[in-house]
Amino acid sequence: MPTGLHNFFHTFFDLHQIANVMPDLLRDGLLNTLMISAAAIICGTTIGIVLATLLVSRRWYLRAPARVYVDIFRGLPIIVTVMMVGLGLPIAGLHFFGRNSYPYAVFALALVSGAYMSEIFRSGIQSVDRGQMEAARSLGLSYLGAMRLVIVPQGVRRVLPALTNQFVAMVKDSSLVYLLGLLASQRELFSIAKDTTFETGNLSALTAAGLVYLAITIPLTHAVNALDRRMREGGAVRLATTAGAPLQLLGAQEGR
Amino acid sequence: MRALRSPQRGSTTSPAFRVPRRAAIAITACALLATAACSSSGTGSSAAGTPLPSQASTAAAGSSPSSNAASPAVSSAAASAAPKVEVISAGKLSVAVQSDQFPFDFIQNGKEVGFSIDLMNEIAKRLELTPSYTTVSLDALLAGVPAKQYDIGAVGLSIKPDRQKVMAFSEPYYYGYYGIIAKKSAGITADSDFAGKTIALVSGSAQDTYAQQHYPKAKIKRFDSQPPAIVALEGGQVDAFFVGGPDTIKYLQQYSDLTLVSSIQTSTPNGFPMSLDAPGLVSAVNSALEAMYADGTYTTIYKKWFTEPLPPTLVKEHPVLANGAS
Repeated sequence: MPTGLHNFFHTFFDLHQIANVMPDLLRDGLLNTLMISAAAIICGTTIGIVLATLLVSRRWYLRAPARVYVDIFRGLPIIVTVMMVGLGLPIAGLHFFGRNSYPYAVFALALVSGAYMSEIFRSGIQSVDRGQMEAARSLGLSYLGAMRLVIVPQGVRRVLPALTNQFVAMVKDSSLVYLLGLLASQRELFSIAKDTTFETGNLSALTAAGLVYLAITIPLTHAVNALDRRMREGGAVRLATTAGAPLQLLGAQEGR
Repeated sequence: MRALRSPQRGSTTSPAFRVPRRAAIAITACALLATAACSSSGTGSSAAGTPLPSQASTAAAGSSPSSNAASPAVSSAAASAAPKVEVISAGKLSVAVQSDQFPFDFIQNGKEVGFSIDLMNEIAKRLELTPSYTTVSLDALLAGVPAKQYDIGAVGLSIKPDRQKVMAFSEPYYYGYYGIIAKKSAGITADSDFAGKTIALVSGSAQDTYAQQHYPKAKIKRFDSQPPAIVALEGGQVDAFFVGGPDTIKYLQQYSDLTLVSSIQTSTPNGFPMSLDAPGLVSAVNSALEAMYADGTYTTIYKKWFTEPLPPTLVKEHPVLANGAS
């Protein structure tokens, strides 16, 4: 093997090093990463939906603040937001979340992903035919009611693939919590890998962490895609009668 | 929000929201980056590398037996026998440096400066090579030096057994001390075992290893770099910050509410990392260091960056340093 290639494999794919760090990654890192990213995804999605409904409002005083928010948090490097929230709030005397770095990181990540997601949701909401709103309103629903029950559910369904990107990005960005300082038990995938590289002088631990990230993100992507398919097919509930059996919802049966 | 429910909203015919323009133009800019192939053959041996006769003789005069088992046998005789210094590109010493390791190497007015940089400039001069500095992260340095992407790292890098498996080190050129700083109001005392206290430190630093051994009762919070850790200390997120001694001086100047709780002399050696495949360079660098100890250059550079006396362990290893100081 040429020297360069050998060096490359030795540095990034040293199986011994990967095997050494893997137990730590799976025991502590995986759970911590999942915890941070799940919390950030839930909070971010909530912020995103609320912002999106503001962004499509016809009232400028609702639209303008949402627009400013999105511009700022989408435009700032995420590292700056994490630092400002995680280190800035405590130094300003605002110890909302005590000394734990996690809630600060989740809050910062949610602020950023909320900004991204609001644009995704906005595009979804705006793609719903205008007639839907008109029909809903003519049936007596209020604007907010029509949004909540008619427009948003349809809009969200259309942007699921785009949301997947954002979810995957969240999983990976959850590593930024390391900027705020972590106790040994709090280390997530990336910081465990990084600490190991400092010890060993070999970068294979990062490869190992990368593999675990893939083990999270690939199933996540496929899960959302499957959900997307089901929602499309489930849009029209198919009824089937089999011989002697009562009416059944196929969708419920095929749930997988 | 109440205004949104006003009845006249229902009768309006204007769109409740704007339909996006259909015309969407996607401009894809494909940038093809031609990556230059990195030669790591290591055959670019240089004719340069012969120490000046005067330096060779000084080294011989002030020689002390090398105590570093990790480096190949270094003798002053080898220095005068013109070791063949193998560098990546002829005539050039490619040096990896960090940008945030005060006072070893940091960026000032856009230039790499510091104790390690000054030493490296002097070493390069003595090897008749032109130093060329690249600022890298510690990860990149730890990977790039063994792979001969860089000839050497000019950093305050602790010599650790695990690291020695993948890279060679020069003889130790510095033994550091550590400092623990805390808020004056925290009431932490020097002989504290920090039980239940949260100590901030930089992940992978020498203090990290030390704290794990000596403060098992403390909660250790690892940071990626020093600035977030010092801000966390100021913000009350941690009780103390455990950092390299020279750094404490800087922080005590910057933050008047901090105090030095404890100062710890260490025996952790710092060396210049090099590739295991470059024994010629390792011995040449060691010879240059020996020569600098003997002729006082090292002491001059040291005093430029440090106020405290020379590290006692280093003086013990190289008695010639004590002679120079007197």
